[in-house]
Amino acid sequence: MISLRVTPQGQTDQIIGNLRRNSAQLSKFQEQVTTGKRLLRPSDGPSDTALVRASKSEDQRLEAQLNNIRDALTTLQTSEDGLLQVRDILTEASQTAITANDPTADSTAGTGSIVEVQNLIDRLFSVANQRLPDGRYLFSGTTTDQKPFDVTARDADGNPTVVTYQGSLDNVKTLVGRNQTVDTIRSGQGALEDAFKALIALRDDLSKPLSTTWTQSLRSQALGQRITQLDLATQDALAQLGAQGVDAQNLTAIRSRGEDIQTELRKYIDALESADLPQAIIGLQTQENMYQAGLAVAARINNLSLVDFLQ
Amino acid sequence: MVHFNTGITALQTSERALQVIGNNIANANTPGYHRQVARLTSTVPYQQAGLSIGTGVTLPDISRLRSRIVEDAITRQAYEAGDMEARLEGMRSVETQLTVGDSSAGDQLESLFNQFEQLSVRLNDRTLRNQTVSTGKGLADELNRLAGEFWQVAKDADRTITITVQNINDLSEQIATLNEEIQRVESRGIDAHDLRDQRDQRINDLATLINVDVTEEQNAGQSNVRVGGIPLVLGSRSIPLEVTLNPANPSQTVVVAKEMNVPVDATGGKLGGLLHFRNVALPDVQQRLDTFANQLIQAIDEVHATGIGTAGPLTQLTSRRTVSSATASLASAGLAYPPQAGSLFLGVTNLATGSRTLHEVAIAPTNSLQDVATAISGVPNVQAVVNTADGTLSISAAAGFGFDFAGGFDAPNTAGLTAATTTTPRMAGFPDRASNDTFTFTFTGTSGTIGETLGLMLQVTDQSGIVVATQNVGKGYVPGSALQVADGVSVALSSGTANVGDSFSTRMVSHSDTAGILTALGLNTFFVGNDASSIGINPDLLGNSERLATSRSGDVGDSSNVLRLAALRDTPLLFGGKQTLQEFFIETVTTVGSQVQDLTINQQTQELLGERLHAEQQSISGVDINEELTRLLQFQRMFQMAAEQIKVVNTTFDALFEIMR
Repeated sequence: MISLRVTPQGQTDQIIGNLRRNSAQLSKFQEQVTTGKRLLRPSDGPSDTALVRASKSEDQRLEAQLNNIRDALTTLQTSEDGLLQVRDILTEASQTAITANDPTADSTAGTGSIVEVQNLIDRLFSVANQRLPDGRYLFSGTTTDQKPFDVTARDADGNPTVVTYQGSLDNVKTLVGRNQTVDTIRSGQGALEDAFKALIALRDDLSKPLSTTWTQSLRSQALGQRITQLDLATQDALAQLGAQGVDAQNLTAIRSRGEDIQTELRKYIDALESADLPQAIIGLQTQENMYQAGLAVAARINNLSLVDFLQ
Repeated sequence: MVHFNTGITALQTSERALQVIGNNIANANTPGYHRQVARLTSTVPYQQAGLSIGTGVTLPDISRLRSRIVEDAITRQAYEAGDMEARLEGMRSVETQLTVGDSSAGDQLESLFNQFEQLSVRLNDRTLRNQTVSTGKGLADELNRLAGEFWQVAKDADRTITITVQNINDLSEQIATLNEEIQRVESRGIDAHDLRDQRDQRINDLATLINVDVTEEQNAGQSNVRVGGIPLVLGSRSIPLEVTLNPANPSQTVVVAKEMNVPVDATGGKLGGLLHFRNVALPDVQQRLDTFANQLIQAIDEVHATGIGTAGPLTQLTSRRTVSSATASLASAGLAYPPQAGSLFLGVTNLATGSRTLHEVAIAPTNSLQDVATAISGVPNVQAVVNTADGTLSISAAAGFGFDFAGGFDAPNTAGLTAATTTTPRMAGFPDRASNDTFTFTFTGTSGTIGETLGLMLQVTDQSGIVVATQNVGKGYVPGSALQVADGVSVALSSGTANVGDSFSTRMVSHSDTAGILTALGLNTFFVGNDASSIGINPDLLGNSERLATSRSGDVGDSSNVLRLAALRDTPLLFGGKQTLQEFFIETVTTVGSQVQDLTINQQTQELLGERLHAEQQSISGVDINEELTRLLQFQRMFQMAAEQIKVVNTTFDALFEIMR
């Protein structure tokens, strides 16, 4: 019988308690609707918060890596263009050597060939010492602030006779993934150095006047060796071009995969973090109705009293 | 004979009953009031003419309706709810601090690692380097802010504890006073219901503040209040509490019973919640934050210290972590990262020629800072001095020289090359072996010309004689190009000749600071400090991002050290090598979130339980106005009828007097 006895104070306490709870729920749904988010603080969902944070970290990391990949691809493209120019220079030099080696060629063509080869050397200098838009040398390895090729000896006419590589043997490594790097700026040692040696040697051989110690036959033999040397240098350049081409292809694949992963990751984050708006709006409306009903009941109950019926 | 007494007793009784009802109505909304009920009983009848004739009604007792079981349950619920609320409030403030906006410490940490990764693309980009240092500073500032905020939260908790203890003392005093008054009233045989209501209310108020155990002495009507056996109120005496520091652990706040100097086991109520938050929950978060900062600093500093900035070798350097005494052993000099027995390798570079040599300095934990200075000064062209005023070490290079701690290759030892070998070796790459080593390069196969002779080979062995690589350096090898050997090591041979049997060797230092002395003293480090409150960016880097140690060779485009820094993101540094820094931070945040969630649910449960118990209490002890009004009418009618009865009795007397006239 005691539990059936409800006093006005008891009713008031109950009404206040219910209004308070309704109000708290209202506030929660209101927050979800206005922010569009379900997880506003870790206590809203600790395990989901951990997933969201880890996923957002991964997303930011991917973004940084995709930026790196874009930069790396740009650098590799520029490097490829450079190497193609080197190939063209060497091919032209080879052609000049073949023409010069033709016994039926006009003797005046010899002078023209020397000038041609010197021009090719100058062009090779220009390509070998080219810089990226940010000022870094393209073929200097890790010493990107150091001009890679310089003339260390000249002949009496001021033409370069020895070109020395002054850069680093190590390639610049760019991070493009988890523990994954790609060589973007390579050392000029090897392919380019050989190209300079071959062109200078060709020019020197073409410049030497025929004599008893430098016969046509010896000249022809030497030019043949230069052609071989030029071919080897071309192969080195093409080998490097090929390696860089593979790197670029791999990077493009990594970038594509990275972008796909990023898209999925962002969808996942959105699914975890975002509020179900229709559900939140319905919840908000429901709580609002309950709140209004609570207020109406409070007004009605508090109006009932025996005093109203006493004469 | 008819007596007036019967009517008079009815008048008096109904009047008193009306007063009781009036008191109930007046206190219908008084917190802690228990309704009172007038218990009527008939007076002793008298016998006459074989009849027992009643003499009226009396009101011997006014009952106070109260359920001991429900009241005790309310008291228990009060201190459990108080405890939950205090803990929840505290943890919510911690949660808010940890997750402010998008620039929490976790976000800043991620940004820093992302900056390191991006630097590997554009090492020469000054803006990016400045941004990286700035991001590091942002992370340090955020950790400082958190440490400061939590320190403030602890101070605020202490203040609230002091106020709560004062409130407890006030309530204890009031209960003691009420005990005395109740005893005084009840010793005269009078019920002290209202005083008891006041006392019960004070006890419940006290229960919201501390976990009380209440016992009532039946005869004396006293309520004694204890907390874990320690008395707060004994009869008419209250024993005050005071706040002090735990002598065994001065970082903790404790509450003691003043007179007895005995700690009080406050495990409930607001005080219990505050003490738990202040002494357990908050320090746990602070400890985790300090552990995070400590490991972050150590990991990044160890890598940074053994790198070189784009500015190249250093010419002057001062340590950033001080010792308490220049002559005390480093193990007991107050260093946050004490060194261990090992070696430090200094690379000394002739800035004009670029020639670099490696020098080993042995370090022992028993060495003092002065010993270390003396040992470093033994390296040619380098000097180290101790600044006794501030416990720091300054290292400087002689004019025209620079120094670094990057390790790498020593200049090749060509003593094993004869005149028949004219090729010049050049080392490239950076050794990445489990321990420091020496490689010996021996020409094998057929003697001849580098790059031309078929069968000319180069065999590489480590210091234990194991062959690590054999490379072709004859026909097919391009002189001057780098040959991969092993573990990041490459070698290039210039044009020239090589004689089979000739050899050269080079010492390779992968780990240039096995003693950890650089981090211990803060030499060439990224951070200063050792915990969340003291972490900062090394002032050498601020405004001078060329000192950001991105390489190990000093080449502008060498990203080897920044790659090592970036790799720390995925390195499990915490929890016995099982958690990365970010995982640890996320766990810290989500653990706090879980605690807040659990406490919120518990608090809501306590709220519902409290409402239920109060509803139970109201059903027994609460005043229903309509009930009281009904009883009011009842006793009003009784009064009216009693007055009528007296009038009628008076009329009978008048009639009697008429007979006598």
